Amino acid sequence: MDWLLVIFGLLLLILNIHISRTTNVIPLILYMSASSIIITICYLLMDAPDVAMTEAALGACLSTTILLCCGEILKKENLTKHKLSFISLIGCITLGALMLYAGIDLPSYGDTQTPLHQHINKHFIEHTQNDIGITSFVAAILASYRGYDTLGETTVIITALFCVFCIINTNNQDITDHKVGTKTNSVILSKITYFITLYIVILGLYIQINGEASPGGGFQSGTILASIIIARSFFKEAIDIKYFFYLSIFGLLIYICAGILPVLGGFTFLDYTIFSAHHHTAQKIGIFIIELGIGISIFSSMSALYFLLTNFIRKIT
Amino acid sequence: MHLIDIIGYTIITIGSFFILTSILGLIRLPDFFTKIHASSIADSLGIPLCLLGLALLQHSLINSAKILGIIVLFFVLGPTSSHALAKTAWIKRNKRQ
Repeated sequence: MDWLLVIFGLLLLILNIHISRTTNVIPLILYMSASSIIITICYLLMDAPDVAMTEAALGACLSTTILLCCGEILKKENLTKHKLSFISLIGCITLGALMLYAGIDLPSYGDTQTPLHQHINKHFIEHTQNDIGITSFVAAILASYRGYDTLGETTVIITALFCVFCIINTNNQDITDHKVGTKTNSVILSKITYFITLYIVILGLYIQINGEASPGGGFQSGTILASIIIARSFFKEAIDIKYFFYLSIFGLLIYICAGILPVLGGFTFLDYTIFSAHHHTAQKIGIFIIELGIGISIFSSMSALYFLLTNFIRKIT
Repeated sequence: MHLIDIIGYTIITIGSFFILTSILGLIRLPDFFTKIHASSIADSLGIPLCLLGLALLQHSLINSAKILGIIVLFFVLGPTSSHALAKTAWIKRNKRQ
């Protein structure tokens, strides 16, 4: 499917050039969402469904939702159209040509004889079934071989939430004390949201639990479950934001507990062999616990991010 | 190729014809409310037909059942999004006048 990838790549290029030349705000946000959808398709064509699912949930859906709320205030200002400057055009073309010239030496797409695929990836592909016993290589590397890095990833998302909170909380009124959410008077939308909540909870939990066998895991399911909270916030009084902060730290604590328990038992940090006698069961129990921690913390972080940003926008308009 | 594969591919082709119709309507129709009608055709008829064809092409029954579940999701949420767009546009137009 190489030619299809080339077509979508060219489409992405044209769309992004058009994005950089647009000045209306709402079409700009929708073009950025369309760009995220096109790159999701490119990830699927490159056989990476995990990345595609995460990009679709976060880039095409959640970012667009938050940006559309911000678009309300930007509509009143006019984005200026910059004149085409000759010197910057020459600079950009030179830099692009240099990068293309450096890219000639790179290995071709899908080449298996590169050093990357000969040593460490070969070890992972050959030894995953014996060491860990789950069918998804991505989940095995993410949760077991490189579980320490995933701890860092989850911490990064919680840190981003707290940074946004520190920047936004400027007027000496504690933003976590307000119940947030607007109310809409539409009967149809409230009934449909009430009906679809259970459906999406089942979908989110299915993706969470099947992280070991199919594309999914904690990150994707956290975002999907956060979308329920965002949808329900239009019709009911939402929960206090501070509970989401506590919940995100709680998710990280679950992850760290799965790491500290082996240390108390005499093993190294994040060594799952303490959880059971049989080797494969111990790995599966360990992966389940850390995916639970990741799911809880991503769910609460995404909900709290949405509420912080949109509540801030509503307060200053 | 079995008969059910041929039926599946035919249904996917019919579904993609409806999606093309929706795109044509989105470009050519004049007003915003008519464009909402055009885009809802892809949501309610085009994509479920493509998914039905895909469900017929699967090799195991569990995968087909999961795809039919997604079709139910589209039937519920497609008209809802059209309604949300139309209602917001109606309220804003009444406020402007």
